[in-house]
Amino acid sequence: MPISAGYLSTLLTVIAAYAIAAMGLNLTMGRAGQVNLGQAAFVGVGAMTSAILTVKLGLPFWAALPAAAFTSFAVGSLLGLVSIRLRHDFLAITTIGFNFIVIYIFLYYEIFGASYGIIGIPKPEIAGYKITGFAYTALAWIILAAMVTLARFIDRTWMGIAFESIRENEDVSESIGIDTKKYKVLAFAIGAMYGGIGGSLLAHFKGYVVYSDFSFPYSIMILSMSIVGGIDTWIGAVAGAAIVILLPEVFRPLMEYRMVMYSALIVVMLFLRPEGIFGRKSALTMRMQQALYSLLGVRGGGGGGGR
Amino acid sequence: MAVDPGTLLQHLISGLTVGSIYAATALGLTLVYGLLKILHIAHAGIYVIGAYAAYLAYSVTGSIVATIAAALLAPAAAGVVLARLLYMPMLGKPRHIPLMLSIAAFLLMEELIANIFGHHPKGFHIEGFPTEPVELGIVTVRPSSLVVVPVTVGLTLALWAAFQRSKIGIASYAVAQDMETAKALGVNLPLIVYANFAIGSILAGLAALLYGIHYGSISPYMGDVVAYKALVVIVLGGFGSIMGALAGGLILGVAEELLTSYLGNILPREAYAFIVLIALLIIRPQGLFGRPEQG
Repeated sequence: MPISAGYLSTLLTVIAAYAIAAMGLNLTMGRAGQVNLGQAAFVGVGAMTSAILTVKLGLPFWAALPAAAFTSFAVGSLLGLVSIRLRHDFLAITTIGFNFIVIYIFLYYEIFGASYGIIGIPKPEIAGYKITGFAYTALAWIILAAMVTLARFIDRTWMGIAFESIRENEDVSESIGIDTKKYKVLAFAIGAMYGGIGGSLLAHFKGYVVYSDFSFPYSIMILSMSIVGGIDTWIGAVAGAAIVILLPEVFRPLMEYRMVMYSALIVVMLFLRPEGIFGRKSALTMRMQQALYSLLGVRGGGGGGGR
Repeated sequence: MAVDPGTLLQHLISGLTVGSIYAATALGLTLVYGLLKILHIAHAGIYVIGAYAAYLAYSVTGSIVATIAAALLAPAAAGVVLARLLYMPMLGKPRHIPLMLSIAAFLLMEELIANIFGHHPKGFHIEGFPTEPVELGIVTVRPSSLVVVPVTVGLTLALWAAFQRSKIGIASYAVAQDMETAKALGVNLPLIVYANFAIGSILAGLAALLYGIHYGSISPYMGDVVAYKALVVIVLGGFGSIMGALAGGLILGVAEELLTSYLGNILPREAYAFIVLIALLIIRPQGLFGRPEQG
């Protein structure tokens, strides 16, 4: 199959954008342990912000992208505030409901383009030069690299440690003085911001946004990226995005069955390799950890139930 | 704004009809949640399977008995298979894992059906079933409403009564209270689980049949809204409660109808349910009628 340059740059750009969105999920779910099944809603919030600011207000990409990050951060903290009161599956269905509400709002109000969407979203410009094609792909990957760097930085801060502590045991975290409310809100807000940045990149690349691109099945697609790649590593999100985007492209007949494939991937991975292909708990590191724990005479944390 | 009693009654009837279908789909969900504490989203996939089984049976045989049998038995089989393959191995895992599996299984079933039967809705008309609205005093009612509401309400009451008295019902309550103790006392857990899945799935098939009769068409995506609205219903009614699911379904159906009719177009109809869902989960997670969850 001959691969045209345009096709290649499209694939690479879409992978970068979704990798950023999946990284957000890895942060909220993988790091902080807060279930989010509505990540596509935040991708949508970012994309719509970018579209409205550039098309309706004439602002440039360079203003729209940070604005998209900000609005999705803000909307994410809203959901985070809700998460304070809810846990586990109750939180999960709240995020599903949230995804539906956001979609209905996009569909219902004229400012979001209703059922037609918003067209004519401009490409970014530098000194009168339009960034398109591979230049845009490069820009997307630079932003992805920056987002990876930010995530790795967060890992090393108190916030990163608080996230992992909340994931392992919320009550204990609270009892040792971690402000769990604050960090749960932050986990949602930052994860949402990643989604929004991914969405903004997608919007400027495609040139249009429409509500249906952010519906609940897309949340499941992003979730499948995280689960396939590994929800607790940053490389996992990028690899997962690449695999999930490329699979239907490589196996063309699968195109019609894309959603079937994403959902089958989730089922298979959760049964066979719940830690993901590039997860932190690969068999080798697990064994080394266990050896270390037994050496120190402590019970290994985080391994989960014995079943 | 003057409220005309005829119009109000009209809205109530159509709200109760939609609400009955919500309730019938939510019953399976509430049984499974009560038992295993799993949010069984894939139930909506079973509902779609019921609709297409009925469609196939009717277009092949043309017999109403065969159609009803297919609509009830195909879901029952699918439900038990799903329980065996998907949920039983996942007992004891963190609750969001079976939830994600369930969502994935739902999308899998839905998309498979869409790819096999086509993405577009299929007409579903049972020959001889009256479709002309009938005048009843100040309201006009579609004949399907006269079937949908009594069938659902009657069956739910029967199910509730059966659960109070039968061995399976009592064992189910025991498992819902404390799975480990129930097992220790000799409850055959897999049998109880499969029985509950079969009963819930039969009700989903029935709901699908009622949907087809009421709207005159079925579609691979008919499960979409129901899948997540059934969640709203069981949150309203309190997780795991049979009568709660009935009440929750009827309340949601009527509330949606009244809100969209009298509040106008502030928000799309579908959004109300989810706003109610989130508000309830925050304010009263045990549901309108439920007692706080223990443990």
